[in-house]
Amino acid sequence: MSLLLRLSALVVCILLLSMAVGAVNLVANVRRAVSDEMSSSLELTTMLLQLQVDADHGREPASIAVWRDRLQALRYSRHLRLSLAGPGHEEAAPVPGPGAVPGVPGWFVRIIAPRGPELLRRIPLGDGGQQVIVRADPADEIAEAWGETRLALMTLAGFGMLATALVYAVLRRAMAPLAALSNALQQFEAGNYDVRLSRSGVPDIDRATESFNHMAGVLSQSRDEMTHLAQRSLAIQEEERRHLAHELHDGLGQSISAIKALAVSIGRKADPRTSIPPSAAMIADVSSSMYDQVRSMMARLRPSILDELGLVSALSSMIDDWNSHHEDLFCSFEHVRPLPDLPPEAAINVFRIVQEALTNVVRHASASSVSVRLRARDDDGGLRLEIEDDGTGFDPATIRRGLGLVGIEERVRAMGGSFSLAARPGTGTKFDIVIPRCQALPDERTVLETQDTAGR
Amino acid sequence: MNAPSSKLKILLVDDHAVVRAGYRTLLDDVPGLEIVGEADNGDLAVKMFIDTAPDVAIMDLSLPGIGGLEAIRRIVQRKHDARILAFSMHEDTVFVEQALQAGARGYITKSSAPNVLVEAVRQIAAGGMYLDPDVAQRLAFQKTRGASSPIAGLSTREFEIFCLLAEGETVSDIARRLSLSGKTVANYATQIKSKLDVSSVAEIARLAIRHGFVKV
Ligand SMILES: Nc1ncnc2c1ncn2[C@@H]1O[C@H](COP(=O)(O)OP(=O)(O)O)[C@@H](O)[C@H]1O
Ligand SMILES: [Mg+2]
Repeated sequence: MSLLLRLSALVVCILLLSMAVGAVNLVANVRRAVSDEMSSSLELTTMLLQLQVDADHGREPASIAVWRDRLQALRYSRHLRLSLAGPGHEEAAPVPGPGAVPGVPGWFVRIIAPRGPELLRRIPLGDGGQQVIVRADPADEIAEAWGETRLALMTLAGFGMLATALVYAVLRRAMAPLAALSNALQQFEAGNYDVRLSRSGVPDIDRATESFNHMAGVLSQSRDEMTHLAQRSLAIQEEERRHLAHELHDGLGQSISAIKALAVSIGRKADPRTSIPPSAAMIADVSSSMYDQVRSMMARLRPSILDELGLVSALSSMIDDWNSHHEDLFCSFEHVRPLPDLPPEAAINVFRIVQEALTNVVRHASASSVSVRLRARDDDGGLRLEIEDDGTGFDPATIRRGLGLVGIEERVRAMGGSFSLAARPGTGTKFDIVIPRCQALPDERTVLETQDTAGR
Repeated sequence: MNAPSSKLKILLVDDHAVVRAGYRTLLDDVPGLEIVGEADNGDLAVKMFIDTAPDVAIMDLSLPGIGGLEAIRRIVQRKHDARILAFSMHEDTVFVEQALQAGARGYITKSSAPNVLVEAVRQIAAGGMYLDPDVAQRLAFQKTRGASSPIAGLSTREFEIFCLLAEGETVSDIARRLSLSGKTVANYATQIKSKLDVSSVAEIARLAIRHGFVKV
């Protein structure tokens, strides 16, 4: 049960208890009042009648008929039933008692009706054995008491409900910051570090709120810094690779091609009977293979084919190359044309993602096949890249994420895309990456351009 | 020994002195060739071409300044019959196409240059064209495949294997020829079939004949 409900229930219990005590008290009071009223009426009437009897004394005693008239006059007196009794006339008075009172629930009557010996007085009228019997009849009084009690009970109940609602509302308000806090923590867990809490005005809670906001601030700042760093380092890496590719092209590559030209030249010039021509030919061969190595290094560092022929050509040539180096592992490449045009920095990102994923397949997956699929998304004209292998898979929760996975994630983030990694031990690994159509990164582009002109 | 006037005059353009030195050494020994000038940037190349009127200019494409392609364009603008051999580290067909469009009469890569340079220079000087065999093949593939046929979706390697399969070579033949493992070639064959939506090698052959990649 939530804290709010618990507290509310507690308060309501206390309220109910005190209301019950109040009700019992009320009823007890009413009861005493009824019984007091009854006995005082009885006493008063009895006294009056006795006075009458005394006044008659000495005179001719009033006849029964006279008394009957007298009593008849008092017929409507409240709370009392008067009757005559004596030899010869058994005038049965209506018996009052804790029976039913019209319009009053039985339980109330039972509780309120005076108990014990019947409230009754007998007033002898001389010596004839005649007497007036005065009986208390609480029915009226009970009905009246019921009316009042009911009102009081209803008021009490109304008050109780009001108080309950009030208590609930107040508690709810007081605990709202707690609900907000737990909500915020949940969002935090889901990776939304931008949630902040507003002040509630309650000092104790505000302290917690402040700590939370501070923590959130620190966390999101360090998250931002991390993202920035990761992206920055990727950009730097890309620049560095470009730079290296240029150096290789301009330095090593050219020198090797010069060496080869020289070797060929020496071989042609030399006396064919000496060992010079074969040695020169060897130098030319070695130069050739060095040159090829430099070229493949250049392609790895910065696939010029990517800039010249686009992503699909670059990927298919890279994958072809990859297949020729891995005998027991085949990578298939499917693409559904037409594919959206990507800005150069996005194209290199996609290329690197595939490169990194394939490196991981070789290093970790023990797979026998891997497929790379590239297609346009129908809904938004973006790009969808899937990379799936049939290897060992892994548990994303427990592995140590290296630069590979982080790099993939950051590159996707840099393009404003999203990616899901479906990997479980034993079921292979699948990346599903979505890159939206627009993903301009003006600052990074400038960096690369500056680098480009500097490299020339 | 040819008379000096009948020697082929050559202009060597490359921004790397070591490369120029290497090729100068190579070409100096060839009878009938004479290097009449060297340039290390595009602007100078244009100027030297006008000044020295070489029979053939050997032109690197990546040059500082206006760059090799632009230099070719400017030279050809002034001298319509200029004979220029583009000479580059780039092996991508785009560069070849661009160089030819700019007006070059030939294209060789620096990896094959020492062996084919002289031959290329001679052919171009004689009014012909010269393309590096490797590059020429790839360029041809790219052109003939077109954009619309299902074959356009094949990678270079897949297309190669497609043609070989169509010619009736076995998987192990192809593997040996392309120095790939048999398994890799078999995988490629499967992938090619699925991309072209065919189920047998016979169908591959039919497709290749229909598109004119293999002669009957
Ligand atoms: N395709 C895959 N198959 C199986 N495990 C993988 C795969 N890709 C990644 N992993 C696991 O994820 C870990 C982190 O990968 P990565 O971030 O690329 O770092 P590194 O490759 O340097 O270890 C790897 O060590 C490996 O355990
Ligand atoms: Mg890795």
